[in-house]
Amino acid sequence: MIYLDNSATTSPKPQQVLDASARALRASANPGRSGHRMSVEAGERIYSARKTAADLFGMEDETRVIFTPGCTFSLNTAIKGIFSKGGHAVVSNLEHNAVMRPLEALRSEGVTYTAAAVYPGDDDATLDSFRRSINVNTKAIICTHASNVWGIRLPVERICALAHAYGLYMMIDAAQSAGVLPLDMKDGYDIVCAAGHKGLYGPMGTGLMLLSEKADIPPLITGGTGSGSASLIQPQELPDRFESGTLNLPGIAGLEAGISFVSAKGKENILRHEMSLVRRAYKGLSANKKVRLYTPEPDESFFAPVLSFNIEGVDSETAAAQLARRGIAVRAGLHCCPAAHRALGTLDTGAVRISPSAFTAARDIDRVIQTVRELKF
Amino acid sequence: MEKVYFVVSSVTYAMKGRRILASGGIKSEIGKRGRRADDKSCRYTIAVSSGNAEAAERMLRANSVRILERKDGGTT
Repeated sequence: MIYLDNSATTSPKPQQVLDASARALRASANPGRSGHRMSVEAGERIYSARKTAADLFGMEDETRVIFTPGCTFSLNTAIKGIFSKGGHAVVSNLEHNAVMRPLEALRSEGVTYTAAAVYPGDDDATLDSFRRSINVNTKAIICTHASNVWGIRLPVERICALAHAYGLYMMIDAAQSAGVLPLDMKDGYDIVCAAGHKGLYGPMGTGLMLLSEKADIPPLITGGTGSGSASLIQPQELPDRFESGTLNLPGIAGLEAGISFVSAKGKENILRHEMSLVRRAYKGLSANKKVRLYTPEPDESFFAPVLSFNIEGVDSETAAAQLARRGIAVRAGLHCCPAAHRALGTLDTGAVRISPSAFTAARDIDRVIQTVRELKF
Repeated sequence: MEKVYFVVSSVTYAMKGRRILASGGIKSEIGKRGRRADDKSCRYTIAVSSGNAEAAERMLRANSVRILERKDGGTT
């Protein structure tokens, strides 16, 4: 199987990820709960992973790295925390349902939002669009770093400066970008939410919420933290405020190994490799008259390595099923992101998405191009 | 050897403390042993030899490891 569904989850995982998770499963006690050797060692594994993640994202204080069950959990925590007392959010018109559904759920509590249009290749226009969407009730700008459908990359550094000029929180959904695109907390982001199992190559069921010193929000869930147990009040110290319940040690150990894999390869090298593959796919597919592409040829300044297309007159799920029968794994449909499909006019058809990883080879892309050419409907 | 115990709020700060002390050449041990009957609050301790206690305390405080309590005494 040629696996090009890495935006959903990267596969295969590096061997060291499998090894780290297996080691943790074989000999794990509950981290941060007991004083015996196994529990202390488990605590050390978690702390080490926290430090490794902090280093990757340019954070000096590793206690501000929060482990979560996934990016969706991180986004829910952050959004429901920021808007616990109402307010208005500015989002992009490319947001995933992990951002849009929490905001919709908060409508009944008076939370409103405005979706700012993104102009691929024109960061000035995108920035103006965000600026015009801010009103007196706006508390935060929440935006994806890169569209999970089109790969369109948002100018988050400039949007962050805009947010801070207006005294707003700047929050990034880095589900598709963590481990691939440059992302440094020193650039001033207040909250960054990331998936552990995509570009960071960790196991599913892992996620991160990275908090700046300014980010002061309540937790989504409360419970046992292994600290301050005599009190019924949730500890306010980080990371315990947000980490109730037993942590996913096998997952987090694997995530640390995944982050180490990314660091060893170099994010820049991974990005360069994946972008070259996506450009190769774009060129090959654009030579096929049956194929419809929706964006300009992906350039690293404006795109992440994700590419979606359709075959004229063919439903995207049908096309994906045909590719699957020929040994090519892609994702079709709406990708949990109707907003991005609405923005580029594919809400009715969906699209076929291909997304490479560090393990994808040029010959895999050539096979996709060839197979799409051979498909008959 | 006589030890000094620094009580911290959670395992995260115990680990952080241990790494900070190690970077300064001070050996420490992490434990979880309340030394009073009413000390049941899931707190961790960083133990150092009494000879290193002053330097250790300074290093921990300088690196934002909040020390909830210092307990002098006790031998291994």
